[in-house]
This record gives sequence, structure tokens and C-alpha cells, in this order.
Amino acid sequence: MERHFDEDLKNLKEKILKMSSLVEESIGTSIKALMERNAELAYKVIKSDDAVNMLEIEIDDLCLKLLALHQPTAGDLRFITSTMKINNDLERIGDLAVNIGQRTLDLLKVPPLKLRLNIPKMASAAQDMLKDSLNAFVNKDSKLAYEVCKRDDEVDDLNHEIFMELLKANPEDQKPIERVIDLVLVAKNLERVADHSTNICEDIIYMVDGKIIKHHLTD
Amino acid sequence: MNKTLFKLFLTNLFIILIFFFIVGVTAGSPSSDFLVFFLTGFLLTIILTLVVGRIFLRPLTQIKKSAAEHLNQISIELEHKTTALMEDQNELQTILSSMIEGVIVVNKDERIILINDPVYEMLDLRSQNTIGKPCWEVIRNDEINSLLKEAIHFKKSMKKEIAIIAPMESYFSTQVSCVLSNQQLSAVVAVFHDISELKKMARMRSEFVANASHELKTPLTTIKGFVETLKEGALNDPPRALQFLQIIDKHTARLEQLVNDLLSLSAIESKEADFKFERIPLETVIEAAVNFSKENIEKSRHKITVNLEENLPALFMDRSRMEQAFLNLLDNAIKFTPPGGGAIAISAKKEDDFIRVDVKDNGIGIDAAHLPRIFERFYRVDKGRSREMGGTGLGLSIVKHIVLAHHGKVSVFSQPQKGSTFSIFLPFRTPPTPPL
Repeated sequence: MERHFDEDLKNLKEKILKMSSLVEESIGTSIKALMERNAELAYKVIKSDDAVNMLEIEIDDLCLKLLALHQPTAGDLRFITSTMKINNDLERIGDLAVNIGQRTLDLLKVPPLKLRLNIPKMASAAQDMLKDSLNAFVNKDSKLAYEVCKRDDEVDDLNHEIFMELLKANPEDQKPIERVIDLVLVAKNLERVADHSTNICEDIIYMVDGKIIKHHLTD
Repeated sequence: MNKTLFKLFLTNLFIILIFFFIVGVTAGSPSSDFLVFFLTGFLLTIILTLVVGRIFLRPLTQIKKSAAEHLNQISIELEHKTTALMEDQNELQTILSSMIEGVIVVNKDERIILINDPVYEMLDLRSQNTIGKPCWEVIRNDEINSLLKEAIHFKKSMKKEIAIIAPMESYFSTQVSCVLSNQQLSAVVAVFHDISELKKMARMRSEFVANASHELKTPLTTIKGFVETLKEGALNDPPRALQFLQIIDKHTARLEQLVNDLLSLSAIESKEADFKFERIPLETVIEAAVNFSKENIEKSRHKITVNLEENLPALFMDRSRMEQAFLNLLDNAIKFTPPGGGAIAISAKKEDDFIRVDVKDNGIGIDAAHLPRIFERFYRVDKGRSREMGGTGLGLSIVKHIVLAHHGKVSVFSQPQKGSTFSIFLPFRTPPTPPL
């Protein structure tokens, strides 16, 4: 019985890491499509979301099976419940990558805005947060998870900065207005990627240390 | 042996004397008999000791000696084998580390048992503690993990091209081979060969062919269209016919220019060009290029300044090719600076082992995203504008290859709306070997 539990636990870990690889690749590709105005990459991201969605369902099923059949306790219970939440966050990040891909396709229909926006910096910051949060999960590194949580403010500030910059854009120079809205949405999606990465880190801290730091709740 | 015999003798003497004493006391023998007992015991002890020593101790000692010799030999052989194994291990590590290809060996439980250094950079592996870990925990690429899993499951060697899009676009030709022992899989070896450059070259070649066809077809289509229109009756309308013929003439000239540029570039790249190197003062070449461009500069109402450092050394150059390079740069500066009030500056000075020549303008500039590709054939920042101005898209590529043939280098610094500075660096210490 214990052997089956270990086997299922290993299977769960493998699946969640596979999901994290797919999502990380999706976000990286969508950002590259946006920066390079590459329609082919944008389509690739949109098509790849099905695999992520299927994997989310499989992971949820496996977690429920583990809980029902084995009634785990302590560390194993925290691992399984945290994995369920991380699974959900990863699936949402996958959807955000698709959104960025779709916005890229819309932006390709019009000439680029003649504005110097900090979107590359924001994209890089969000991507790094995701990468480090997944590193923290693999290595069970709660210290790294704490550090990632602190970086969310930087991304929020960049989002605000880009929003204010786009608000100032002269509509006479920058028609049509859809272009501005698309860029606002892209920045918003990147900000949400950072938020989900923070959620993942909070779940990791709970999994490793047993502490709840959600909603700024501290010891 | 002597120590052992002596110990045995003493032990035997002790036992026998005690025995005789007990016997004597028990039997109630007189004191004088005890001396006899002692002497008898002593003699018996000697005999017993000698007998035991000869029958048992000597062979035992020989066995002990032989065993010690064997153990020493085994120890020496073990040491040699351990040293040889460590040398083999070090040799293997050195070979693996100095390979360009990445190598990962995974056992049948999908755990990494061997990995070389290039893999860390190739696959952006973040953890240094990889040995013993499952490959899917270390390698965060689903395609690679699936490939390894498939090889383990089906015990089949396979080959696949893996594309990694982010963070850096890379392509790997991946060969996965199974290590079988008595039909049982013991490990799987994956070798990664970086083919990103090959892919890039293939893409560039493909783009060049597509661009060249397009560039050649465009004027041909226009010429053909107007010829057909003339044949269908426009010839009967002289003013219109003349207008059409002028358009045909313009596009023919463009086609001719394009073909000439292509041939020129091809000749320079394939080193078939007839370069005539001679020691020439750089000032004369720059002045010739400026004089040739004077008409276009005046037409665009730009100002040009020439600022050359004094006593610049003469350089080994092909005069006409280098003039062509400076002309192309000046041509671009004139074209991409809005007419009226533009300032173009050419300067030359010594910089380390090079003469640096800058052609600077205050025109529309180039976005940073385009700079890495600006010297590629047919690459244009703004296709429409460039064609409108009569450009072939080959000017900068020709500049680059002429400078390379002179063992120099070319670079660009630019900011949108702030102008561009194209720099040519020509070595003045070593005369360049003419292309063969």
C-alpha cells in the first residue's frame, strides 16, 4: 500500500513539473512573440494551451485519488494540497500566455506605437519570478520563495508606469485606440503572471515550513 | 618463530611442572623425588616443544608468511587497479568536459548518473546538484524528458531535433542511445549537438533567395506591364508612350543596379574580386567619395563637414572598393536625413591599431532592434521608404564585406530620430593579404 502511495506521489511530482515546464515555455514564447512581433510564435502558444488544460485535470484527479485512498498526513498532506493550488495557478498562467499571444496577433495588424514603454523590463521581471518560483518548488526552497514574493511590488509599479504612459498617448498620433488598449491588457496579463507566481511561492512556504503568509498574514 | 617457541616452551614447562607437583603431592612423594620430577618435566617439556614446533609451528609460520605475501600483493594490485580506475574516470571527465556536445546519461529509473558541463548552459539547467535526481526534475523541457522516457520504455535508440524558444532560441540535434546488458536496459545516453547556427544560416539563405527573387521580380513585373500596355495600343499615344518608356527605363536601371550589386557582393564574398591593394593616403579616398556625393548633398540641401586627423598613415587599400564603401555610407546618410538642414560629418583618427572613420548624420536613425541585422543582405528597416529612394538593400552588406576584405571591421551606433554613426575600422600595422 505504501509502495503505491510513494509511486503515486512520484507520479504527481512528475506531472506538476511537466506542467510547470509547459507553462514556463508558453510564457517565454508568448513574450518572445510580443517583442519580435512574431505571429507564428503567437499561434504556437495559443495551440499549446490544450495540453496544459488536460494536464491540470489529470493532476487534480491524481491529488483527489491520493487524498481519498491514502489519507495522508503532515508533510505529504501539505504537499498534495499545495500541489492542487499550484496546479490551478499554473493553469491560469497558461491562460495568460494565450491572452498575450492573442493581443500580439491584434497588435500585428497595426503599425507599432511610437512610444518607449517598459514592457520588455516588465516581461523579464515577471518571467524571472515564475522561473524562480518553480525553482523554489523543485528545491523546496522557502527562502527563495520569500524573495520572489517581495519582487511583486516591482512588477506592480512597472504596470502602473506603463498604464500612465499609455494614458498620455496622444490619440491623434496613436490611432486606433485599440492598440493602446491591447498594450494595457498585455501589461495587465504580465502583472497577473507575477501575482500567480507569488501565490505559488506562498503555497511553497506552506508546504515546506507549514506557515501561511497569504493576505500578508505573518507570524 | 623463536619467540613463539620460547613462549610455548615456558607454557609447556609450567603445565608439566604443575602436573608433576600435583601428582607428587597427591602421591605423597618425598622432597627428593620432586627434583626428579622437575628434571623429567623439564626434559619432557623440551621434547614436547620441539615436536610441536616442528610439526605445527613451522608450517603455520610458513602459511602466515605466505598469506602476508599474498595480502601484500593483493593490496598492491588493488592500489594499481584503483589508480587505473581513477585515471580512467579523470580521463572520461576531461573528455566529457571538453566536448562541445552535451551528454546526459540516465538510468532505467530516469535518474541522472552522468552529465557534462556544456549541458548546463545548453539546457539552462539551474541546479548544480543533478546526479541521482530524476531527469524531469532537472531538465525543464517536456520534449527532452518525453524523448528520454520513450527511449527507456521502448528500449529504442532515437534521434530528434529539439527547438527551445525561450529564453534563447536554440536548436539541438538530439541522439538518444540505449545501453543494453544481456538484453536488459541499464542506461540511456543522450547527446545534444547545437545546430542553432546552421539553422540561422539556412534561414538567412532562404530569406536571401526569397528577397532576391522579390527584388528582381518587382521591377520586371512593372517593365512587363508597361511593355504590354504599349503593345496594346499605348504606342499610338506618343506623350503617354514616352511616359511609359521613362518608367521602363527607370526600372531597367534599378534592375541593372541590383544585378550589379548582387554580382559585386557575390564576388567580394567568394573572394573572386580582383582587389588591387596599394598604399594610399586615406584622405584621397574620402575626398573622392565626398566629391562624388556633392551633387546629391546639394540637392538635399544638407551640410557636410570633413574632419581628418593630421598625419594619418597611408593604408593598404583597394582604392575603388574603399571609395565604393564610403560612397554607400554617404548615400545612406543623404537618403535617410530629411531634406534641408541635415548635417553629415566624416571624421578619421587613429584608434589603437586602427584608423577609425565615422560617417555621422542627424537623420531618422535606426531602432535598436534592427541594429544587429542592418548589415545583412536586403535587410531594410522601412522597406517602402528604402525602395522609394532607389535603394537595393545591399549597400551596407557591400560596405561590410569590403571592410572585412581589408581585415577591418564595421559598426553602427544609432538612436531613432537622433541620427546614426557608421564606423569603419581599418588596420594600419599589417598590410592585408589580397583575397586569393
